[in-house]
Amino acid sequence: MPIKHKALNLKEALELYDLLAKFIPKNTDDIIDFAGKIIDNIIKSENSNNYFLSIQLMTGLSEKEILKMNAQEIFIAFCEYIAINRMLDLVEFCKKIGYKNA
Amino acid sequence: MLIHLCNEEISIERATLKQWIFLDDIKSKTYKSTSRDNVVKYIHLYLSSFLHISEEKLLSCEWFDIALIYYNCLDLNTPNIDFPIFKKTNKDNKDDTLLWNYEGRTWYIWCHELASKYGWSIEYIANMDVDDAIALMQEIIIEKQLDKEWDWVRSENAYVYNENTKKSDFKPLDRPEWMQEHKKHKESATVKYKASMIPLGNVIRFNANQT
Repeated sequence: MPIKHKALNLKEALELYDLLAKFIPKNTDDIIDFAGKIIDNIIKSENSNNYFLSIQLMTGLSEKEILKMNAQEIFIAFCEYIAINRMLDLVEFCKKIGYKNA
Repeated sequence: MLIHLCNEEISIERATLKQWIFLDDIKSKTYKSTSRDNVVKYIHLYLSSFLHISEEKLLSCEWFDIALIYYNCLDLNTPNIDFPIFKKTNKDNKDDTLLWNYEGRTWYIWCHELASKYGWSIEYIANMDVDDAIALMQEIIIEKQLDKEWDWVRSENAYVYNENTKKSDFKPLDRPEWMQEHKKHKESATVKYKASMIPLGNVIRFNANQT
């Protein structure tokens, strides 16, 4: 069963940006490459907490529900929802309004 | 202009002066905000004030729709002329430290200046076109500055005695940065050296031991 997607309002979108800001790669316009590099950076940082928190935010599922799921499914959902939530546009928007992550 | 938000079509018109001043203040606060909650609060406040939409409705919309509409509204309310009066200066925000400053004072400053100069009513000023209001405000400020300069030229304080030349030098009154002339690049003057200052002897060059 596919993991459900939750549309983000502005507050949630900025929360997602805060969670992933330090893992965002530079000079990438391709959304798949962008999502992949975020995951690479999370793996390098050895801090998976923000990865799970961002999945919770984008799916509306609880931590327990996510941990019961297949890792591959979670990975695919993460990449897909990063694209659906227009993360590249979100980064651009935050730059334009001068928003720096908390 | 028609915009679409959460499956609803909304007709918007450019803000008039009073609303524009209020919205511009919120826009500045958004840029200055450092916390997520404040950024969201001010963007929602901007949109709810301008579009007359409740905050609950804005919270139910996707962020991308909100961002798009926010930019449409900012574009619509941007003055059509690049007024020099809005050029950033190093002395920006000095009003924040004034004891008599308060929230929303900007509107009263504009209203006071335009009403004193032209005798218009508050309602008339509030509904003015933004470009007209800014252009007239700039003219009022320029006129005041030139009047001050005229008074300054005739005052003793404008002349400082220079002991070296035994004369008084004129010290012009400071102008706001946006009224100052652009500094032109000065061409370097031709300098003539005395023959005695030019090095003597053969000049040794690096290539093939030429002299």
